[in-house]
Amino acid sequence: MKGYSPKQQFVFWAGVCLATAALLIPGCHSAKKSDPPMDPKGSTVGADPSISQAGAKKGQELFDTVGCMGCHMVHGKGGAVGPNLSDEADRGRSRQWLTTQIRNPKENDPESIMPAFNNLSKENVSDLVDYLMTLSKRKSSQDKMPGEIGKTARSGSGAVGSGKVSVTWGGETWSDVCGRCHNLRTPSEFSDAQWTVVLDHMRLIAPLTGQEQRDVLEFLKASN
Amino acid sequence: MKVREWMIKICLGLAVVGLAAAAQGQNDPNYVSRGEYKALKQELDAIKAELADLKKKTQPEAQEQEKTATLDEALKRTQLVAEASGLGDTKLLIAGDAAAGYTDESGAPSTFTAEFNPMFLWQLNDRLFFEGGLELAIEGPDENGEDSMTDVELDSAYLTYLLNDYVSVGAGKFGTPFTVYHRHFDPSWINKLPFDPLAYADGGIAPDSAVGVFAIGAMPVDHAMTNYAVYISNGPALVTDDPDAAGSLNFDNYSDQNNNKAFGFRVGYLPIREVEVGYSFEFSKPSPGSFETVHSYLHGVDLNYVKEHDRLKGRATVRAGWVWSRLDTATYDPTGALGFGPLRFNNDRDGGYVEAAYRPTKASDEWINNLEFVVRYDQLNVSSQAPGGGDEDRWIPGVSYWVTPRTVLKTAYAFDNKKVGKDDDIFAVQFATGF
Repeated sequence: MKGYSPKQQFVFWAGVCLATAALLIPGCHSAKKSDPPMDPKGSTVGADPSISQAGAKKGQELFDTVGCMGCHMVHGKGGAVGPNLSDEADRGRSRQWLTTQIRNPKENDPESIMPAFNNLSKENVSDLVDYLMTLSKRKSSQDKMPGEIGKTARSGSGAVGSGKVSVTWGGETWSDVCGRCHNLRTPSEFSDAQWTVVLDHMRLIAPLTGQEQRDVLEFLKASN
Repeated sequence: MKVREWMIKICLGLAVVGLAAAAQGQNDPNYVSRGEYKALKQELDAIKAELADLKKKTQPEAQEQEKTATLDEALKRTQLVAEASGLGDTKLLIAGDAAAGYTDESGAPSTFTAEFNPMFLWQLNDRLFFEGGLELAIEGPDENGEDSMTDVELDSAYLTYLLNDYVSVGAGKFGTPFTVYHRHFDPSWINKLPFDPLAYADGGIAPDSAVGVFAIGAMPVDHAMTNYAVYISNGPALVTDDPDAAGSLNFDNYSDQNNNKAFGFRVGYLPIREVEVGYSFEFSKPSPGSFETVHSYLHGVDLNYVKEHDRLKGRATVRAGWVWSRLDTATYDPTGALGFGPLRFNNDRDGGYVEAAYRPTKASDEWINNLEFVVRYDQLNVSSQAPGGGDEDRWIPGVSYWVTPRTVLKTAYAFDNKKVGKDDDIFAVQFATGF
């Protein structure tokens, strides 16, 4: 390093250190690029420039209304007939694959039992794909600790003892507590009235708090 | 004179103009005569009368429609109430599990098996809940070659009062909350293998059900969830007169031996959402009144871990439970009248299991997705001086296929290793479902 000033040497070695650190820390250089901002529900939005935030928002509404939720679960809410889509964005599937899966699932998998949603407009399908491509488990609310559920999340309208029920936390609890011992039933397996009885039983077996019981019941009613 | 003339002229002029105007008015097509006016008025009155009649006629129909709408609403409400309170709905629900299987055990004839375990869940009101369960199973022929029988047992029958969000109290026959195996993993569609771990099977060292009273609940504490159960029961019975089992605890005994009740509890803790760990304790005096006093101390720990792993492309499950049974040393058959005494031995026992399972839930192929691979290691350590004693451990690999989320075909092979006596390897296939 003869012939270089101390300042030039510092810049050189600092550059070497930074480059080495970037290579050694897994995913460091790409993490900044792919670390998208969080939406209020905890899903990642804007990870890919091709994803429209407005489209993803519309897609989420469509997901809740056109029937996807009847079979697919996202962040603890929804049915269990089809795969859980909470980490769909992490599976590396292309827009084209997802579009085909919605329009004609048998083209992707001839044995798929998913019905073809070919009645949806091109725009609606695009919105749904936008939404699905934002679903990442890496920063989802699923990763909250029980304490966060018990303390942070429940400090709002669904606070323990507040008497208010929360469909979202009901879904989380259902997925966490019931799924800890056995495969989840689909909500449609029992009527709302039957779930009321089942949850009395599960409150004693799991066991659940009264608030959790009410939340889960509300979630199951909403999913039915 | 001139003025008079002018006045007459003006009057005549006005008269001429008036007559001309009158004549012109009679020829105007817009002119309505009195007769026409009267006819029109009569016609208008007739229309008014007809409209009034129509109003009178239509008014009852509107009232009728209103009544019908009210009745429809009432009917809908009644239907909802009826549906919500009908038999088989809110008040009574039958759930449970059933299984059919095939077992081939070393030193015993192979046999097909069947069991049916219905649960009757009955919500009496918002706070009162009753649960009753039966165990129906085919019992194989005994050593004397007697006929097989259908074994019927009352698995549970307890009434619970949901006191508040964190406490429920109940009484009756209930699954003992001593570690979680029997309460959580016993049903055939939840148990990952076709048989129970040694420590939790018949002749094991963990209590499975009890008759008494209990309090149970859960609550968030700081950054974690916790749960607890406390119970007082009649407790187990110490076997004193069976030469093959003296010194062991009979948990299928439901009557008190000596007016001393058993006391037990379990506390569970979930430091993170995927993990639950628990500690259990039970104290009892299980010896019959005619036998010397023996104290029993049972300690148990349990672990349950379930997580969907992206890297493993599937769900990993780890379950474990271990029980330590400490009984006072006593002399069995002290007079030798029963033919195996006097017998005195260290009656400390321990045993448990560790089980790991993996299901490739994220595999793209549905067939592979439905497979589950399981391996369990279980152990039961009993003093070799105790009747039927000797350490035993098993490695049990198994593969299951989930036909539906609640129906599973399981197969497993137990490699048995006994320190005393012959090994009891077992091959078993079981088709189990939850309903």
